[in-house]
Parts: sequence; C-alpha cells; structure tokens
Amino acid sequence: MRRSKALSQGEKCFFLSACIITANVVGPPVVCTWDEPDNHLSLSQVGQFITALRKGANRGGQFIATSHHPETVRKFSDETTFVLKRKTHQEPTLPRLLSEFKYDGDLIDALIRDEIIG
Amino acid sequence: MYPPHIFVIPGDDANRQLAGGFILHDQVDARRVDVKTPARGWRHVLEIFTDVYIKILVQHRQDHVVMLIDFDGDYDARRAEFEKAIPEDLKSRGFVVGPKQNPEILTNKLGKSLERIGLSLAHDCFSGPDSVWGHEQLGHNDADLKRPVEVVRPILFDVQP
Repeated sequence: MRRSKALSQGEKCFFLSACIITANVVGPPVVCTWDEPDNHLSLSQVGQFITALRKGANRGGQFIATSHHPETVRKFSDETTFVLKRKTHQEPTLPRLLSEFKYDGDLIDALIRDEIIG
Repeated sequence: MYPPHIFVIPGDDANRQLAGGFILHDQVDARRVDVKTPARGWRHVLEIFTDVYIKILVQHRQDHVVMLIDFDGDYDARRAEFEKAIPEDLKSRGFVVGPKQNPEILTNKLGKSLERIGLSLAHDCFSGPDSVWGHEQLGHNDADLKRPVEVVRPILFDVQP
C-alpha cells in the first residue's frame, strides 16, 4: 500500500471521494463540504468526479462545494447552485440561488461576462 | 481498450440541465456519459456534430452521440435536417431527441426542475414505465427513442433492470 505522501494531490482527492461515496452507500447519509474539490484534477476527470459525489444526494446525503471551475459549475443546475455575493469586504456575503438570476445563453459565458457575480 | 462513450450535445443551457439530471440517476454510469458544453441552438448542435463528432464516431466504433435540442414546434422539418446531416453508416450511433417546444414548458407542466425531470427520464429508461417520456411534450420521440435506448442501455447503465 502506498503511503499517503506518495500520492499526488489528485490521487488524494480520488481517495477522499471514494471514502465519501462508500460511506454514503454502507452507512447513514453523509454531509460533505469541500472547498474547490476540482483543484488538482485533470480536465477529463472533473465532471465524473463531481457527478459521483453529487449522487450521494440520492441516498439522503449532501454535497456542498465551492468552485470556480466551469466543468464543476456545469454539473449543477440553477436550483442547486448558490451564488455568493458581497458588495464590499466589510459587508456580509449573501447566498442567492442561481435560478433567481436572469442570464442569456450559456451560464459559463454569463459568469465570464460578470453578468451574475458582478 | 477504449471504453464506449456516449457524448451528449445539449442545444442550450436548459438542455444541459436536463442531461445533468439524467446522469445523476444512481444506475447511470457517469464515466461513460460526457455532457458537452451547450451549443447555441440546434443549428450549432448540427455544426458541432458534423465538424467534430462524425470523425470521432468513425474513429471509435463503440461511441454514440445524442443531440439534445428544442424542436420549437417544428419537429418534422428540424428532424429532417438532422437526418440529412447524419451519414447513413452512422445513423445507428447518432441520435437527436428533445422536447416538442422547449424544456421550460416541461418544467411548467410537470412542476419539476429541469434536473429532476432529467432524473425522471433516466428512471423511465432504466425501469419504466414511460411516465415522463410519454408526456405530450416528449411523446413524439417515441419512434426515435426505441432504437437508441436499446443501443445505449448497456453502456448507460452499470447494472441492468
């Protein structure tokens, strides 16, 4: 068995996600919060990685992630995405459902144009 | 060996959310389904298919492409455009499906989010009955769907019902 130090950052992410998915299958539902889970993954892996974690919700679990990654953002719907906004650094951050925002065309294009966050 | 893949080209963001809900079904093997960036309307879906995916289908004989579009009340004409563009020898691996009008009408009529509708569509495909596929906004896909569902089912689902 490889020591954890010998694993790459991406491999560690896969190991953690496997633990979470397994825990959701064999035990009570798991609530998982993960800050930018896509950081160390290759582009071709991001979509299926996030989808696998989201499937935990089918068994009553919850997966809450923050991300700027287009592939991750696209794996959520307008009703399962919260936009975090604050006017200045002195004011509190306010979460609002993406479905409350109107945007034209592709979501990622709208985010790049700063139509939603900006 | 390169495993078989199903590429989904959504016509717009609403179709992307439908497809996203579909792959959340527990039995769908999400490693085999790749939902691509939404095109900007059905004409772009067709362009992407002809420019990019015909070559992929020729190269990888186990791959399939599903084009998910809005028919905007123009089913016969739009379907004919796709039939014309899909080469004869790839018709068994290139499919076009979508709501009669657009997915937003489906959300209003079914009272569910696009993602939840996608999940229900996967459930119908996996174990039936066709409660959502049979909706009047989707029923026109019946004839077109029997073939692709049978073809992609072994790739799509990691266990069989």
